[in-house]
Amino acid sequence: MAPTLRIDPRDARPIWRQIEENVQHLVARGALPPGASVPSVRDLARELQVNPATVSKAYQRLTDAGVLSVRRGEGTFVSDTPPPVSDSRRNGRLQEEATRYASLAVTLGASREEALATLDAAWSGLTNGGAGSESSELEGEEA
Amino acid sequence: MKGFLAVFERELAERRLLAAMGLGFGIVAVVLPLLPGFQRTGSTLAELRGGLAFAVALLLSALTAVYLGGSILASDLVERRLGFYFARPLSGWALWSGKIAAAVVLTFGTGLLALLPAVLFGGDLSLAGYWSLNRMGQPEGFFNVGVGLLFLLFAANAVSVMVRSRSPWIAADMGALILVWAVLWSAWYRLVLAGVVDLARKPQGVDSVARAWAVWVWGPLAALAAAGAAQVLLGRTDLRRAHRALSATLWSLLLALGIASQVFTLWMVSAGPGDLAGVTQAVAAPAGSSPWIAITGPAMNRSGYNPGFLYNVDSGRVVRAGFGLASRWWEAPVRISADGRRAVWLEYQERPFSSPLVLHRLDLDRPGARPVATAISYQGIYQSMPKGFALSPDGRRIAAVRDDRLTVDDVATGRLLASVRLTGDLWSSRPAFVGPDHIRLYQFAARPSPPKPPFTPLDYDLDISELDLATGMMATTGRLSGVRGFVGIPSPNGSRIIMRTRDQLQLHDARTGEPLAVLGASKKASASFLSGGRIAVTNPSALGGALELRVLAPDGVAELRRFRFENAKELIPVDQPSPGSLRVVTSGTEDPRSPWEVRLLDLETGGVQSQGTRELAALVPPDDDHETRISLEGKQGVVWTELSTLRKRVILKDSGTD
Amino acid sequence: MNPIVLEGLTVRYGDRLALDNVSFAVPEGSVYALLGRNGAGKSSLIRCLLGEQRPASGRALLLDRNVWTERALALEEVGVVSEEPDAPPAMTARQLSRFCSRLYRTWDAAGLEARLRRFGVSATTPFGKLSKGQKGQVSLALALASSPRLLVLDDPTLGLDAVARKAVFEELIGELADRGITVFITTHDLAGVERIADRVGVLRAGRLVLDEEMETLKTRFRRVSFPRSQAAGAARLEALAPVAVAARGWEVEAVVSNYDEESFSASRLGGEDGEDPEVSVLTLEEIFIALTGEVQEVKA
Repeated sequence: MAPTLRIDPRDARPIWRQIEENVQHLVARGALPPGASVPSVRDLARELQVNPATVSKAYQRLTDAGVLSVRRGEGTFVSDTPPPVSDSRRNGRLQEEATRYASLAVTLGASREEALATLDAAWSGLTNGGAGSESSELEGEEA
Repeated sequence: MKGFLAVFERELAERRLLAAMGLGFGIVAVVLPLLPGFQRTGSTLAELRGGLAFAVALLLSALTAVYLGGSILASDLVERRLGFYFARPLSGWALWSGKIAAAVVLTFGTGLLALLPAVLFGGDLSLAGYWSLNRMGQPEGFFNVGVGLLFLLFAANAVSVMVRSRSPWIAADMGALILVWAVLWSAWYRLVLAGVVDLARKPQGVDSVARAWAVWVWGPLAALAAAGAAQVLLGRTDLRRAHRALSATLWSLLLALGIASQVFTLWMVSAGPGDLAGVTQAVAAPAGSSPWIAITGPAMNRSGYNPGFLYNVDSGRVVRAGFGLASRWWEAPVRISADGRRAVWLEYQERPFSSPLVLHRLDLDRPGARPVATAISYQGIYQSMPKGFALSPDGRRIAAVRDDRLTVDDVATGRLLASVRLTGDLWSSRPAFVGPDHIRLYQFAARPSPPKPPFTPLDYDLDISELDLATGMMATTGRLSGVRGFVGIPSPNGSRIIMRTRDQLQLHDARTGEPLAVLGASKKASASFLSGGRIAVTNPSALGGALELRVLAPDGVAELRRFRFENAKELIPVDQPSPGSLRVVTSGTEDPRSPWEVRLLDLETGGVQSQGTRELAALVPPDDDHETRISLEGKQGVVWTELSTLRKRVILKDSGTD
Repeated sequence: MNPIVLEGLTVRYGDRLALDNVSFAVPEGSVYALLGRNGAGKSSLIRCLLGEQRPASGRALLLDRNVWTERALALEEVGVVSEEPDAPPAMTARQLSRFCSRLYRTWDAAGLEARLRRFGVSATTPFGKLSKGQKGQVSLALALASSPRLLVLDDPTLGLDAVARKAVFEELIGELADRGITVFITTHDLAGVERIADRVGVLRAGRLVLDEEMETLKTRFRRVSFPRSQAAGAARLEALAPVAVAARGWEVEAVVSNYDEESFSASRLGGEDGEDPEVSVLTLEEIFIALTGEVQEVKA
C-alpha cells in the first residue's frame, strides 16, 4: 500500500499544500521511489476524506514540477527523474521547523549547546536507519 | 404526466387490500341469503342478493371514500412525509391529481367489486321491489351516489386537514361554514317559497332552476376539489400553511357561490309583468268599475315560477301579490270588488302546499296602500283549497267553500259571519254575492265524473240555493237546467243571469233558474248587462262579414237598438261613460295584438262615434314555443279572455289619452 | 451559471425574522458548506431553496430556475437529502427506486443497489423499519441515482456513527471525483466538512455573516495568546480588533479575523519584556464558535 499522508487542520498550510509537500518529502526521502505508482485522485481523496479538487490541484502542481508524471490509461506515477525540492521552499521549510525547535527548546529551558547536541543525535539516528527506512510516517511533534 | 402516473400507480399498489376486501364482501352478500337462518320476507333470492350487494357496495364505497379522503393527503401532510415528494421533480398538480385519482378509483372500485359477485351470480340490481329507495337502481340513482361519494372524499380531506392541524384557524372555519350555510340556505329557501323547487311546473324557456341545481351540486364539489389542490400547491409541506390555503380557497369559493345564489334568487322573484311568458289568469272588476286587473302566469326562463300582479291600467302601477302560487289553471284566487275599491287574494303563508292560505287585501283607492294580511286563513292541501270564493260588492265580506262548508267572513276583522254545512256536489260549488247580505250558491245537481272544467261541451244541471246572512239559513231556490258549466254572467243586481244553455245564450232568473229569453243562437254570440238592466248582445251578422250589437230591454226580448259594424271580426263592449252611451272596441282581425278601433255608441240615437285606434296589450296564455311575452309598455289598455264568463274583455287606459 | 443563487431571501414568522436578506451563490463544481447554530435559519433557508416555502421577499434559484414557481423543473437535475429522511414507510428501497426512476430522465438502479450494498443496507426492508442512519443512507443513494448536477444535503451525517459517516463522505467524494457535481451541504460535523468544503457560509440569527472560500478563511483567522502579565495587554488587544476574547487563568486568548503574516510580525507585539504572543491556527469548529458563540467581555 502507498505511504500514508495525514492532513492536519491545525496546519497553517492549505490542504493541497500539505499534500503537495508531503508527497515531495516522501519522494525526496525515497519512500516513494521513482516510477512507483501513486493513488488516483479519487482514491486518495476518499482515503484522506478531502475534496478531490484539492488532491487534483496538488497533483497538478507536482506534475508541473516534474515530481509526478501521468501515463494515460495507466495512472499517476512518480517520475523517473524527480527534481530536487526547490531551494527557496526547502530553505523556508527548514527555517520554519528550526524556529519551532528552537522555540520549544527555549521553553523547556535547554541551552543552545544542549539543543544542538540533541539535534545532532537525532540526525545521526535518522541517517543511520538508512534511506530504505521502513518508517514512512512524517513524525509529528512531541509536545 | 409521468409524475401523475407514478403517484397514481403507487397509491393503487399500496392499497390492493381494499380491492380484495370489496370482492370478499361481495361474495359474502351473495352467499349470505343461502344460509339456513336467513329468512326471505317475500323477496326472491335474486332480489335479496341484489339488495344485499347494493347495501354492501354502498357502505364499502362510503367508508372507503371517507377513509381515503381523510388520509391520502392529510396523513402524509400531518406526519411530514410530503417532503419526499416535494424534493423530487414532481409538480404539485401531479402529486395532488395522482393521489386523488387513485382515491376515486379505489372508492368506486371497491363498490363495483362488491357488486360483481352479485352480478355474476344473477343478483337483481334493479331493486324494483326491495328497498323502495327513491330512484336507486336507476341511472339517476347511481349518479347521485357517485356525486355523494365524491363529496365524501373531498370533504373528508378538508375536515381531516382542518382538524389535524390543531391550529386556531379551525374556529374561523366553523364561522365561515355557518355563514356560507346561512347564505346558501336563505337563497334556497326563498326559492322554495316561490314554489319553483317543490312543484313540477312546466318551465317556460330555460329551466333555470334545473341549471342552478347543477351548480349547487357541482359547485361545492368543485370548491372542495379546488381547495384540496390549493392545499397541495400553496401549502406544500407545511401543515398550517396547507390548512390556511385550503380554508381560504374553500370558503371564498363557497361564499361566491352563496352570493351568486342570492343573486339568482333575487332575479327569480323579481320577475315583473314583462317577464311573463303569457297570462294564464286575469281577473278584473265588473266592467267600468276599476282600472285594476289581477294577472298571473309563468315567468320566462324561471322554471315555472308563477308570480301574481295587480296592475293599474291607467297609472301603470304594479303591485306584487302572491296569488300566483295558489292559482290553478282554471281558477285564480283573486277578486276585485264590484265597486273597484278593494282586491283580495289568497297567498300561502309559507311553503307552498304545506302551509295555510292566508287572505290578503289591498285597498285600491288609496295610492300609498300596501298589501295586508288579514286574519282569515284556509288550511289544507290542494283538494280542500277554497274553490270559488266570492267577494261582496263592497269588498267587506268574503264567502268561500272550504271542505264541506260555506263560510262567510268579515275581511277587515276576520270575524266568522256564517258557516253552513253543504250537501250536494262540493267540488262544483260556487258562491256569488247578491248584495252584501245574501249569497247564492250554484252546485252541480248530478256530479259528473270526472269533474270537468267550465268549457267542455257537456250539459249540466245547477242547483241554486241562497244563504241569508241575517238568519244564517240556507234554502234551495231553484235549478238551472242544461247549462254548460259555470259560464254565467250575472246582472249587476243579481236578479238575472245569462248562461250558455244547450248551445244558446239564454237569460235566466238567477234565483229560480227559470229561462226568460233566448238572446242569441250562434256559438259566437256573447252578451253583457248594461245599466238599467239592459242587455247588449253581440253576434255575427246573419248576412255575414259583419258583427251586430243589439241592445235589448231588461226582459231580453225587446230590441231597443241595433248597431252594425262592417268588416269587424271582434267586438268587445268596454264600459258606459254615461247611462246613454256605450264604449266598444272593434278589430278587423282575430289577432288581439292588432290595433283596435274605439267607438262610442249613443244608445238613444243609435249614433256611432269613432274615438281613434288603440294598441292593446293582449293578455294571452303562453305559446308552445315559449316566445310570447306580455308587453304592457306603450299600450293603451289590455284585452283578455275572462275565464269565468268566457268573454273577451277590455280595460282602456283613460288617463291622459284620447 | 451558478447552480444555486439566493437573492435577498427574507423569511418571516409573524414578527420574527428567520432569514434577513440572505444572498449568496454556490459556484459550479464546488462544495459549499452552510453552517449555523440551531435556530439560525438554516431550515428556513433549505425550505426556500427546495421550493417548499415561499420567502417573504427575495428568491432562490436552482440551476437558473426560480424554485418556488418552477419547482418540478428545477429539481430535475438536483438530488436532495433532507435532514429528516422521509419516504412512504411501507415502500422498500427497491420500490422507492422504481418510483423515482419514473420522475427523472436517467436513473441508475444498478448503481443504487450497489451503493446500498456498500452501505450495508437491505434493499427489501420497508423504509419505516430502517434506523435513522440507514434511512439517510437510502436517501443519499436515491439522490445520487439520478446523476444530478447539484446535490443539496441537509445535515446528512446527523445521527450516524463514525463508520457510517465515513461511508457517506466517501460516496460524496467519489461522486465529486467522477462527475464534478456541485454540493451544497449544511452540517454540524465541522471537522468532517472542513476537509471537503471549498466555500463556507455562516448564518447567525438569520443573517449571513460569512460567505468565503475555505482557504482564505483559514488563512485570516488566528488565535493570539499572550500572558496576562503583559501590562499593555488591553491596548494591544484592542489594536488587534479581535472577534472573540477568552481570558484564561494565565493568559488571554484573542481570535483575530484579519491575520496577515507579514504585517503582524512587523507590528511586533513583543513589547519590552516581550515574549512574543503565540499565534496558532484555528480549526473550522473554533472559527465557527468564535463567530457565533457568545460575545465575551474584553478583560483587562
